[in-house]
Amino acid sequence: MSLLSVQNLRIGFAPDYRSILQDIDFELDEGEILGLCGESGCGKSITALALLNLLPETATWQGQITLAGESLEGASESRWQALRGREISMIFQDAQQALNPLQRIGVQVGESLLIHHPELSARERKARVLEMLRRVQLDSAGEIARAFPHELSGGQRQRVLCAMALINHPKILVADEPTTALDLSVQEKLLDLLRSFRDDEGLSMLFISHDIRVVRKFCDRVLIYYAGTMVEEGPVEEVFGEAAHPYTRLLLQAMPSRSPKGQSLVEIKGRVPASAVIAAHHARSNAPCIFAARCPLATEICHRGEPPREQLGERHFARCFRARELSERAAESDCGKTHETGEAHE
Amino acid sequence: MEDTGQRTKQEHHLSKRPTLSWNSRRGRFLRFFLRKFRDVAATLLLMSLLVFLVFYIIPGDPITMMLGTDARPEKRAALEEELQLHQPPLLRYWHSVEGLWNHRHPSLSLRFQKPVAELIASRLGVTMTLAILAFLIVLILCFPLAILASRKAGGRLDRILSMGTHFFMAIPGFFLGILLILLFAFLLKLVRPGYFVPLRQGFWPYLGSLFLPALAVALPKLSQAVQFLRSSLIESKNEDYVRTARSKGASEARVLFHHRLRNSLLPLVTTLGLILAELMTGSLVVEQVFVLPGIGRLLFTAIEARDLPLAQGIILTIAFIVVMINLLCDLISRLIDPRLDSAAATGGREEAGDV
Repeated sequence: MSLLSVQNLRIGFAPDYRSILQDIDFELDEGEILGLCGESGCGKSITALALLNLLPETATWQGQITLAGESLEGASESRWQALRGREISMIFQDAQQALNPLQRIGVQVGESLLIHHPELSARERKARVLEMLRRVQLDSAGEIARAFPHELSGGQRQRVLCAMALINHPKILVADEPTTALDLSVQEKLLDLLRSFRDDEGLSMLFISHDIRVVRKFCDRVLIYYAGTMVEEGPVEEVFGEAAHPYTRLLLQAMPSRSPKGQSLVEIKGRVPASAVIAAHHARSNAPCIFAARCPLATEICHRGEPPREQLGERHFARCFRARELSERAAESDCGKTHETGEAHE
Repeated sequence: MEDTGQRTKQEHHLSKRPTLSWNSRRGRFLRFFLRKFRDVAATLLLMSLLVFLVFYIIPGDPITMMLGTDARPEKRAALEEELQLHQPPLLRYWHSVEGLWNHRHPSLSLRFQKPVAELIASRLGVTMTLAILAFLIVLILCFPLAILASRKAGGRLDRILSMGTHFFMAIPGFFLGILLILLFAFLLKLVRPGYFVPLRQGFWPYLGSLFLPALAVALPKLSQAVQFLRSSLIESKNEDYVRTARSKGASEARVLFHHRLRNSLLPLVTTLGLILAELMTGSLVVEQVFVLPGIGRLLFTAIEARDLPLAQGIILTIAFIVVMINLLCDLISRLIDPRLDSAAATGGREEAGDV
């Protein structure tokens, strides 16, 4: 059985709570790194927040979230408080904002311990904080513990967030774009660090990123989000190698390194619809494919009804009328490298 | 480009002697104090010059105020001699400032013919007690009220409190004073109206007689503080670090007291400082309504009588108190917010680079 399973998750915002995110189903296995990809405004971050029941006051979620066999639908706030930071933790994109500017690092890292292990003495707590800071490769941990957030570099702050999230050895880490604000070399080191937690402690991760290269390197499986719904999911090699959904293919082509030199970058025409449009779309029964409006491969059928969830591999699914055809074509043409570019300009 | 080069050179220079340099923590603090001391001195000097200048410019003079417009010139000259108004202006200015603490040649009030320092000392106690009492009311009540109001923005409690604070901020001070007298003195019969007990008749009766005026000054200031703290508490709900605290499993109470409140305190310190400064300078209206011998009324008398030495003394005293309160606020802010410490250091370094 999987460690975390999410079924039929839908999220709505005040005032009418129409769902702007729906039909989210996925599972996270022990020790697995699950990527979550998509453009900004697709609902990646609110999915993450819903998993910790940390949505803003103006939002609600419905659906089944099951953590280690325990259903969390309708769980009390105090139950959530007991789980957060101990069973499931989160790290955020903007480490500068995510740390309290007025508290010393040691206090903030120690707070997670204080909340879940109040029986520890101050000295034991301090020892564990220092140990954890060293574990996330912050040398001179004593100095870091005494420092304030503004005295650290971006990479150091992100490590501090990791230490804070992982000090109670949770089973799951939800990482919301943890590397986006960092430069490449620091990014690499942080990813290595996170991977080491997976290898040593069997930590499972939901890794949110809009950087496909990072996801491809780092994750085992990936979910592709578009406009508040999942359009494709599967093992990384299959999804990126035999991309079945046109949106996934376009995301791949929009990567700078994939375009031949001298050619302008491929961009996905149009933009993610606004949340109100998404909500209105989801509210329709038998709504057509929401990506059809931007899809270069859309045919008449795409505008008529809801696309089916096609199974393409053991764990590879895509929500597209032409998924099977596209994935076969991609597999034929050497992992889809040569054909794709031509197709996008059809 | 040149600026950055200079800075790196300085940093390099500073990093060689970290403990002795201006940039050590203690050094930064010392520099902060020196800078503040300079500011205080400049403010007071400027203030005293301004008072003198204003008294020079405004129509009317103390002789006319005392003797009337149709006094004979000889009488005017005699009084002028007696009040030493024939001295050159700069000397008079100097004496009005220096005489405040010179015991052998004290600065004398023209109107009362008493040393200014003595007059101020006799009145300052009442004003300060009133201010401190009012400030305590503000301080004690603003936290629970703001926390209650911010719990559910737009909720019933929030709306009631917001109505109350708007009411007390809109109502003029003297009217509020009269309303309070009406309520406490005539309806509830708790105090006697217009009844001030000097300190020598006992501390508690003295404090008791100041309670109502303190309430009258405090209510509008309290409303101001509550509104301010309420909105910064509500804003803090959406801060990233608050979400981080929640993600660690912190309870709402913990989030409030360990994270949101302390961060909301930072802007509040400045507001509270302004409130305290305003309270300390005395309220002419409230002193008038409650017949209190405070500094506000004394200043009014001094200006009316064109009594430069007295006005100079009062205004300098007030300015000194205000400047000290500001200094205190700066200190408290620096204690709460570690970022200010390093920001001041950078500012200082840039200053040094300019020279």
